[in-house]
Parts: sequence; C-alpha cells; structure tokens
Amino acid sequence: MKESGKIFGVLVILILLSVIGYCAFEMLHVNNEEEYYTVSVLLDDSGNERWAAFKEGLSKGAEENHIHLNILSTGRIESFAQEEALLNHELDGSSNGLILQDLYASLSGNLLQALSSSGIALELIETDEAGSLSFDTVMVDQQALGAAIASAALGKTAAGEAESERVGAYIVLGVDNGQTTLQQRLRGLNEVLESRGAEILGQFSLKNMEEDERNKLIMLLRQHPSSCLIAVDNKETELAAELLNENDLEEILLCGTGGSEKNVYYLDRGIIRALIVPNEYYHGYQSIRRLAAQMKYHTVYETKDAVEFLTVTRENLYDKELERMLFPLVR
Amino acid sequence: MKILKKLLDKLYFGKSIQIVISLPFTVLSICSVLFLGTALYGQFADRTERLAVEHAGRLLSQTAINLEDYLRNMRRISDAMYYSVIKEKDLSADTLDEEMTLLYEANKDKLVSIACYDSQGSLITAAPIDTEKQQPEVTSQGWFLEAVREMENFHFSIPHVQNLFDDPSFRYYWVISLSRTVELTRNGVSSPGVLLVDMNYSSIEQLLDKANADNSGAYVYLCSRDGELIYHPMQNQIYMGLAGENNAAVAGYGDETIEESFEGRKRLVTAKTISYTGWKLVSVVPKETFSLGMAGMRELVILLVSLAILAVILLNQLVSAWIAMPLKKLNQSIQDWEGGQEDPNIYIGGSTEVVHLGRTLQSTLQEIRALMQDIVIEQEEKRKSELDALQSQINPHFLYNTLDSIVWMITGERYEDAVFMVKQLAGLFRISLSRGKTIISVEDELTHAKNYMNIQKIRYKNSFELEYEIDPEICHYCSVKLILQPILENALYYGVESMDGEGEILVKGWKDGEDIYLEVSDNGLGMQTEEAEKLLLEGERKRKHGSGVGLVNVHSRLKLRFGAEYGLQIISAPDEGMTVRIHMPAIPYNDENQNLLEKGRSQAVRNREREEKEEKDKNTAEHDGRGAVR
Repeated sequence: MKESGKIFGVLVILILLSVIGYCAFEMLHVNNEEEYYTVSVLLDDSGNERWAAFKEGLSKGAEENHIHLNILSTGRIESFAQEEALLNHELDGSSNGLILQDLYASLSGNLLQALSSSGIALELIETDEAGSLSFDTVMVDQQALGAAIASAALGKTAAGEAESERVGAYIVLGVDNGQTTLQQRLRGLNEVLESRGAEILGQFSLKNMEEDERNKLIMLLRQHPSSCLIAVDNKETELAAELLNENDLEEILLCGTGGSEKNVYYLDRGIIRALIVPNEYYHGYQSIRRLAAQMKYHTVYETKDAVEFLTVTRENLYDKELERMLFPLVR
Repeated sequence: MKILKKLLDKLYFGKSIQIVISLPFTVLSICSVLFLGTALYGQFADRTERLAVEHAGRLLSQTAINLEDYLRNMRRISDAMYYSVIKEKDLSADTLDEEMTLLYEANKDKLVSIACYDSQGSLITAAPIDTEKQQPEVTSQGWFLEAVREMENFHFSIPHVQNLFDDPSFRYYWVISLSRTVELTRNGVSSPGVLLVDMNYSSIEQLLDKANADNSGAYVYLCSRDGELIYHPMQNQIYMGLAGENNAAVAGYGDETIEESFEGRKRLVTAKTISYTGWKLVSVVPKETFSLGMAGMRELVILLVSLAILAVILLNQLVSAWIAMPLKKLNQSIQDWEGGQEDPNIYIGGSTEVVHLGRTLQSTLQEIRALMQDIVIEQEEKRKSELDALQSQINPHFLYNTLDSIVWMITGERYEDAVFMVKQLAGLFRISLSRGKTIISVEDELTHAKNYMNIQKIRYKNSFELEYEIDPEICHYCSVKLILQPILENALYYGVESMDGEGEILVKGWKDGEDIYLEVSDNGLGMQTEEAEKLLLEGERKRKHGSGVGLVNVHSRLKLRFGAEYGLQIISAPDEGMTVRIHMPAIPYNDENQNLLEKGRSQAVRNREREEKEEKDKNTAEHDGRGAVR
C-alpha cells in the first residue's frame, strides 16, 4: 500500500475513534441536568405588595431560563450604608447574577464595578444615567413617570393633551431621601408643575409621619378642599388613600403611582383619581431574561430595555387591554 | 456491465491483492452499515414522533374530559339553583339567600360567587354575601348582555377580573362567568332575570397547568370559539407581546391534527372542541421536541455505526491480509528468483490453492534449474570438445616446430638449450592435460603460459621482450585452464612478430577486491576500438595463423564458468598496441571449489565463500572485542 493510502487509513480510523469517543461522552452526560444559575434579587422592602407583579414576572422568567431565584428578604432600605452592606454580602455569596434596584446610584458605582469584576452578572432595574451607561438595565424612565403623575394631576392625558385642565393647589407626597428613583420622579413632577404655574402648598412624606405633622396635613387639606394630592411612590399613594378614606376627605383629588392591589382597590373605590402603573410583570420577566442571556453568553446587551407605564383611571380599570397588566396574578 | 468491468480494471490495475480484496468488501460493508443505521434511526424517530403525537392526543382527550366534567358541574350548579330554588320561590315572600349560600358553600373551592340579578341589573341576592360595588354597571357587562341576548342557553365568558363585589381585603379574582336567563316570580308574576355563576379561573388554570407539567416542549392551551385565549401557559407574555400563538387560526380548525408552521417553527397542532361551550382545547407539539428527545438515540446510533465501521475496516484488513500474505510471500520468492538468487526459498503455505501454487512453482524452478544445469554442462562439453579439437589441431604444428627447433639445437650441440626446450614442452603438456580438469590454479596457468612463451622465445630467437608483473597473492586462486596462452599467442602473432626485435609483451596479474585480473599488453600495431570489440564476438572470429585458439573461445569459457559479468576486455588503438584483460572472481583454489566449478556451480562457490568470509569477520570482531575488554 502506498504511504498516502496508509495515512488516509490511519486518519479514517482516528476520525472514527474521535466520533466514538465524542458519542460515548455525550451519552454518559445526556442525563445530566441542565445547568442552573443562582440569581439574587435585591429590592427595597421586598415583601411589599407593590412587587407582587414584578415577582410573578421574575418567577416565570426564572422557570423558563433554569434559574434559582433568591429574593433577598429586606425591609425598607433607607440609607446607602444598608445597600452597601447587602451588596458586600453578595460579593461573598455564590450567586451567578444579581438583579438590583440601585437605590443610591450616585454612591454605589465602585461597589457595582467590584461586583461585576468578581464575575457576577448585573441587571439594574433602577439606577441613574451613569449606571445605565455601565450596566445592563431594564427600567422605567422615572423622570417621565414623575411627569406623567403631574400630567394626570393636571387633568391631562399621559401624552400631554389637555382634557379639562384643572386649576388649583397641589400637595406633593414624597420627600427627597437621597434615593435615585425618588429624585428622578420629583424632578419630572416639578418640571411639569412649574411649567404650568401650579401652586405647591407643601411637600410631605406619609411614611413614618409624626402625629402632629399628620394633623397639620389634614388641616391643610381641609382648608384647601379643591387641592390635589400627588403621591410619587406606591407606598405614599397607599398611605394617602388611607388618609383620605379615614378622614372623610374623599373629595380631595389623589393621583399617584404603583400597581399594588391596595392602590387598585382605592382607584376602584374612587378615592384615587388616577394611577400611573408601570408594567411590573414585564419589568420582572425581562430583567431575568436579559440577566440569563448575560450569564449564558457572557455578554451585555447594548440596548436598554424601557418599561412602559400606563395611566389607569376608574373608567379604564377593567379594560381588557389593562387587565393582564394590572392583575397578572390569578387567585 | 462492460463499462463497470473497465472501470474496475482501471481501478484495480497495479494495486496489491490485499487492496483488491479489502476495498470492495469495506465499501460494501460501510454502505450496508450506514444504510442500516439510517434506517434504524429513521424508524425509531418515526416511532418516537408517533408516540409523542399519540401521547399528546391522549393527554388532550383526558384534559378535555376533565374540563368538560368541570364545566358540567358548573352547569349543574346553575341548574340546581334555577330549577330547585329560583323556580320554586316567589321573591315577594321568600329569599334565595339560604339555598344560594348552601350551594356556594358546597362548591366554594370552584366558585367565586353566585348571584342573581333582575332584568334591570339590580342584585337580588348573592353568595357569599358581599357588598356590591357602587355602580357596577352590570347591564353593560358581557355575561349579562349574552344571557339576555340568547335566553335559552348557558353562556360561558372568557376569563376576566370580577367587577361586582367589594372585597375589603383588596383582592381581585379572575373568573369565568356562567350566565343564563332565569324566570323570577314576584307576587305570582314572572319576569326575566339573570343567574350568574362566577367560576374561579384558577381551577381551570390548575387543571390545564397539570397537563403542561412536563418540560418536553409540548403544551396545551384553551381558546374560545373565536380564537380568544382562555388559558395559555405563556398567557401574560402573549398579552405583553413577548410571545406569540396561532390561536386566531385555530378557531378555524376542526377536531383534527394539523401540521403548521408558526414563527418559523414547524409543529403538530391537535384541536378538540369542548362540548357546549364551543371552546377549543389545543395541543401543540413542536417538531423540535422530537429531535431534542432523540439526541441520546442519535448519539447511540452514530456510536454503533462508527463502531461497526471500525470493526468492518479492521476485520476486512485482517481477513484480506490473511488471504494475501501467502500470495505476497510467494511473490517475494519469485522476486528473489528474478533478482538473481539461484536457489530461492519458495514459500509454501496458506490456503490449499496457494500451497499447490507454491509447490508447483518450486518443482518448476527445480526443473528449470536442472535444465539450465544441463545446458551449462552441454555448453561446457561443447566448449571442451571444441577446445580439445582446436588443441588437437594446433598440437602437431606447434609440436613439429618445437621438435624441429630441438633437433637443430642438438645438431648444433646446444644440448643445454635442447634440454631446457624439452623441459618446457613437457611442462606445457603436463598442465595442458591436468588430469582432464578445466579448473587449475592461477599459478599453474601462469606456469603454462611461461612454458609456452619460453619455447616461443627460443623459436623467435629472443626477438621480443617479455616481462611478468604478477602479484604472488593471486597464485592460489582458481583459473580456467588455457586462457593466457591463446592471448599471448595473439599478442605474439598480431602484435610483436613484425616488429624486428622491438616487440614488448607485458603480463600483469593482480587482485582487486573480490576479483582477479590478468592482463597481456603488447606494443604492436593495435587496432581500431570497434575492430577490437568485434574480436570478442562469435561471428566475427578471424583466423589467420597462430594457435587458432581465439579470444572468443576464452571469453565464452570465462562467462560460462563464472558468469556474465566476467570475461575479457580489449583495450586498443591504432599504433598504440593492445591490452587484453582477463576478469575472474577471486575463488581460492582448493579441491572443493575446484569440484564445484568443474560442475559449473560458480554461484554456489561464491555463496559459500561469502558465508565463510562473514563467519571469519564475525569471529575476528568477537576476538577483537574480547581483546579490547581484556
């Protein structure tokens, strides 16, 4: 046999042996379970009802992408020190990824870079501009949401078209506590109110409000029955609705944000005039999907996913188009 | 057929027998294994697909039965409420509360509420007892409108969030509303109303979730007769545009299995209509789920096919090598023979046919060898008889001249010269006879030549010069008898005879490697190279005068005795004399070698000599090695 023939024969046998080896290896590993990732989720006041739809979306996305979810049990995170402690804990943990509500984005930059460098995939659901440039994000445009609350309070549509613009005084519920989201919302809110020349009677926070201050607010509302309360987060909206309900101030207009069932209930009862509700199910579902892609393909999306929000009133509450967004949970 | 034969002939031309045997069998075997593997895999894939479809069909039927059972129960609740309670009561005197609450309590795991409204949409009673929402606008709700529009039938709504009762625990429920028109009696007067049974959607969801519990990729969903989704495992994602479903097209399907392509993916869709509602329960089996499930099987088939091909290749190589090996060995024996080996070892082994072939070849070779031996002997005899004849022809002439010279010497009282002449003549004849042997030592051949030239020198009165330069080492090697004398005779007659005392003849002898050379040079007239070359050709032999034992005779005898590579070489040019060189193998002169050469077995002698030399070299090397160690 010629030399080339022998080489060809040896090559054929080597190829066959390689194929046999590969198939045997694959067959031995065919029953192995698919790789699972562990993902931690850090949310402010994670037990709050406002996260219900978000968590539902997360769970569905995690199920589809073979992810073990670890939603960290947190109370209210009221300082960067608290957020830092939680993130440092994550640095020592065994999570492959982290979904983070970056509450104090202006302070957390280095810590997030450290997390990212340690090989943890990051998906931010709230952050500032710098954070959104450095990391993958799925988030609501908080400034636009603030502006939408203001527009709803002014009696405008979300698109800014005037329906029957009301003239009056406004009381803002939500005080800048250093949290990025709140700052952005307030900025958007104030820009619209100022541009319309609205009178702002005061700015309060119903969270942990002292009794005398609460009385002061009630007094203010009684003195200005035609004023409008504007709540800039879910909890403030719930507390404001309760305040109006408990004090027979239901004639006071209340516009707020947040899709918790309590807020929807108060909207249904007519206590809340308009609610700006982000699509939280989509928010949760997309954040886990994008994080899964990051972990699987070791890549970061260049496009940023924006979560839409809708203005819900008592009139459109049961519209078929909104039902799935407002009530993603089936009981 | 002819084309195939030509192709095969072309393909196999010049190929070894092993390739000729193994190639077609290997190709055929590999093709067969591949065909079987593919067929096996195809069969299995087909069967798996069929089983998956059957499984999906069974699951669909079972789920449909469970769903129909559930819906039948709901209708029974509605019937019980209507026929056993509402129809029996006059609302002016009785209430429905107790019976309705009892019915609700008995079925509250499946129900959210039961309510009865009059034709204006005012609530008559409800269970559980709840606060009705302010202005729920009942008459504009779908279930109410449907019930009023078709009064005879039950109406099942699509899932929606219930918007009737105020739940202070802030809860909202997804329900499917079962509504019907009922006849309400007040003071004996009948008026229409609507009975609403709100089924808990989670019961249906759980029922269908069970059908989607496995992770095979196949799933079941439920849609209305218009194709509107009632249940889907990806319902929220579909509503948010993150996933899609071909539910609109399914509305047009009958109860059948259809292969469709949706969003670039092929899938088998089986639809089943749920009785009474017109809903369609749909099973979707994506085609890719078959291939995913087949991954293990595919690897097993590839593994088995690869193993089979490997085994076939190796087995074919072994079998073909086993068949071809005896033939190759036999072929090697023939090649050895062709290469000049006189006594090749013919391989006899392998299968019966090859053994027979080997034996036949061996006997044929033996016969050829015997025939060749006979030819050699015959040729030898011929040469010998020719030599004898020539010798007998020259002897009288040479003898007459020599004896005439002796007579003249005696007459001239040169007795010592006469004695010398007689001695030389006696020596000449003694060696010529050599007891009939053809092989003598080089020494004897040289003595014979000297005797002859001594006589000639006297006869020619020393008219030429004769010189010998002989290496004494060559004296004890074998030579063919009477090879120098004819050459000297030629040199004498054609070279120096006419040179008037200036002729010179030089006889040289030496050993070079394994060969011996004897050379006779004269300074005579010489001749053209072409003419000199003709002297060694049989047909060109010229006879002028002299002994007549020509160079051709010597050349032929040397070749015959020692082989074709030996013989004479003539170097000559006009006026530059002539050199005739004898080339012989260096075979030591002893009885054994002489006998073998006499029988014409020069090759055997040389083989024996080679073996002895190797043995000697080995012993010398061992001896040197021991000496070095010591």
